[in-house]
Amino acid sequence: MGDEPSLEFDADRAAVRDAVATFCADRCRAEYVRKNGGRFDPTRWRELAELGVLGLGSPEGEGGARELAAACEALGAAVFPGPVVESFTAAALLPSPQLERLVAGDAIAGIGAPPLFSFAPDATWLLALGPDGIRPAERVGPVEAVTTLAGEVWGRVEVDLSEPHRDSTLALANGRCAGASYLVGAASALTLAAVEHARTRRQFGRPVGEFQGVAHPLVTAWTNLEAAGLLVREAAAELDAPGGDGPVLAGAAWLSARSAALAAAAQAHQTFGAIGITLEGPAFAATRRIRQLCSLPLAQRALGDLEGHTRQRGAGLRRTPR
Amino acid sequence: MSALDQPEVQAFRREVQSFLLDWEDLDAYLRHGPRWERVTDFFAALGRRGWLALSWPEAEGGRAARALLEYVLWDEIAYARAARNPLCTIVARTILRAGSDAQRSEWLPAIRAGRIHFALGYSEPEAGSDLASLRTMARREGAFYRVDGQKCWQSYAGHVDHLWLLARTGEPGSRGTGLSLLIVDTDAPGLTIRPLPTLDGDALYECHFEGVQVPVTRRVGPEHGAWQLMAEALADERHIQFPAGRLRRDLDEVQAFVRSIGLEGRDAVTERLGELAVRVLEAELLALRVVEQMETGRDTTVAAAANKVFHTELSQEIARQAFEWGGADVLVDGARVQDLWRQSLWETIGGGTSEVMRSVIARHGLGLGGAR
Ligand SMILES: Cc1cc2nc3c(=O)[nH]c(=O)nc-3n(C[C@H](O)[C@H](O)[C@H](O)COP(=O)(O)OP(=O)(O)OC[C@H]3O[C@@H](n4cnc5c(N)ncnc54)[C@H](O)[C@@H]3O)c2cc1C
Repeated sequence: MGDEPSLEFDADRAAVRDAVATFCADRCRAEYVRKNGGRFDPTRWRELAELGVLGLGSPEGEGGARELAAACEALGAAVFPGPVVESFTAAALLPSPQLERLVAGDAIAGIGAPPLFSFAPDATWLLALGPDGIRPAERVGPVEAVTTLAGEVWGRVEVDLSEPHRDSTLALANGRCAGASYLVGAASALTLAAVEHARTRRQFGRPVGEFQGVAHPLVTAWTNLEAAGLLVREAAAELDAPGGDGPVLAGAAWLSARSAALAAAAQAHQTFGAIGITLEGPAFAATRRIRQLCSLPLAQRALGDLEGHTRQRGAGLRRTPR
Repeated sequence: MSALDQPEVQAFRREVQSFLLDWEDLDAYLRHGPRWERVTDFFAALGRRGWLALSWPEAEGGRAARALLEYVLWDEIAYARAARNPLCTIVARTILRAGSDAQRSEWLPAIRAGRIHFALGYSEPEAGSDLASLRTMARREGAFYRVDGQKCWQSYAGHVDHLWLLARTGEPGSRGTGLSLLIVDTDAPGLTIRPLPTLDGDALYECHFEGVQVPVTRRVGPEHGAWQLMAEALADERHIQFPAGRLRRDLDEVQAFVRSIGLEGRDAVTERLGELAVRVLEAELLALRVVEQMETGRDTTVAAAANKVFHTELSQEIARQAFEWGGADVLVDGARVQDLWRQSLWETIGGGTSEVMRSVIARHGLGLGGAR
């Protein structure tokens, strides 16, 4: 059944994910993430760009949303720093030749709601996300740099907002898809690390993972992440299919990944005990990044879009009109 | 494209939908007992279409259909609230795997026609989650087993023709290695079946055995060999146990309810409904993953346990939320939201509790050994 649609990544997309994972294993080790914090590192960013991933999912780019999701899952698993969501959002909006600069890793975008924008001191383009879509933002004052929870340097800046992009649906969907996949990757890797800790840390004469009070919450976290991962891949597949449910599902995937990742992050801290609270310990590099990504303004309207969606989708499949 | 969007799958779904138009009034998914006659008519109608044997081999009168079609069948039936899948099909799976030729020809045609029905005689007062500790004895006496003991919580046992009895044929204490499966007539002398009304308006039953004689020819599979058979037959059915159609319908009904009490459009309500809609999408994908793993020949143990916990807990979450919005109206007996709340309460217990399911995932999925 080679051509059967599948809920997992197929071989080609798995290869994308594995290539990015291999790159990260070399260029984004745990020590690097700890030392660098979340600061934007132009050198690493260009190296990532050389893999050819930054244009994925854009109308001009090579691969589609599934490749984008595959790449972002691996980036998340390594907690790769930098403007991942920002780039995939902007790539669907920028015209040539700006797009080429973004894809080459020579320039980056920041997103936010005025006056606070992610990566503002380093960003060439700023995008304001609001209920009416995505608006290009023009700096009209100096950038006041601020450090953030995940160690990224953001900025407050006065901007002029242009009219919203005519159609920011794809940009928003790609950004959500990228963010959701990154979150699933990061939180899954973190959860598996917590599971490993539960298997090896011994108290009361046995591995703590033998206590159901430890094991079952990890199972819940894992199950929710599995569900979120399925939904991200489903959304990506739909985005790649013309006329599909992609944009609505990408909103669902973002919400799903967000809540699954936040819960998993909290659970990981609990499982690690005190070692998880340390600045350089096994949890914080991932949990600070998860928490930060989840605060990006990507959820606007998604819930409202969704309310009628299952009904609609069901109705589409059902014959009887409702 | 999702597997569900494939033309032949959609065509089958439409076929099921048009079949179900005749059964819109059945409404027995949440409880079979009060409408038992109509429920069995419904199963017989499914039988006439060959749908109780959809995925059985053709040689046994089946259609050899892929697991996904069987999922879609029960997904639509659940959405239509018609009924749950009958318990006789798990019996059939076991006979298909391990029955003698005589047993195949005696039981399979009647089961696939929806003519006979079974209750599952597994649990006992002292053996719930720890099923392998069960004590009901079946002692061999020549061509018969003599059965003594007590079972409890048997769904539909007061209505059906036969019990599918798991009993100890080995030594006391032999746990999973001393169990056998027997088919017992519900009108057999020495068998008493009593109802235990349940809070959802249905009933479970307890079954007392005093020297009940069961012919050895009514044993399916090897003596003492039931444990593995049970697991295999269960694995054959995992894809149809918890179809997402039930949850889609729950959410539809809660949305309709929200409209009826004038809460539609409030931000907090819209948000929460949206969140629940995301959960329902997740549940559907978890269910489809069980199907996919089955179709690709993989072990579904972990995926099925995850699907069960997720599906059943979500059914409770949806019902609880509606109750929160409902004010006093939901307290009036017969209110659908109240029925959802009542019925969903048992979903996390019957068929393996959430705790047991989580331990299965912990052990087989995450390698957290010892968490039983
Ligand atoms: C609606 C309904 C229909 C049913 N239909 C049938 C039927 O047709 N045939 C039949 O034979 N049985 C049937 N049952 C019985 C069902 O299989 C049992 O209820 C189930 O196996 C749990 O057993 P128990 O109720 O004795 O709970 P117990 O096993 O006593 O469990 C009590 C509590 O302890 C927890 N627990 C137990 N062991 C562990 C452990 N190792 N780790 C963590 N927590 C644990 C459980 O999760 C539960 O919360 C039905 C039950 C219900 C509710």
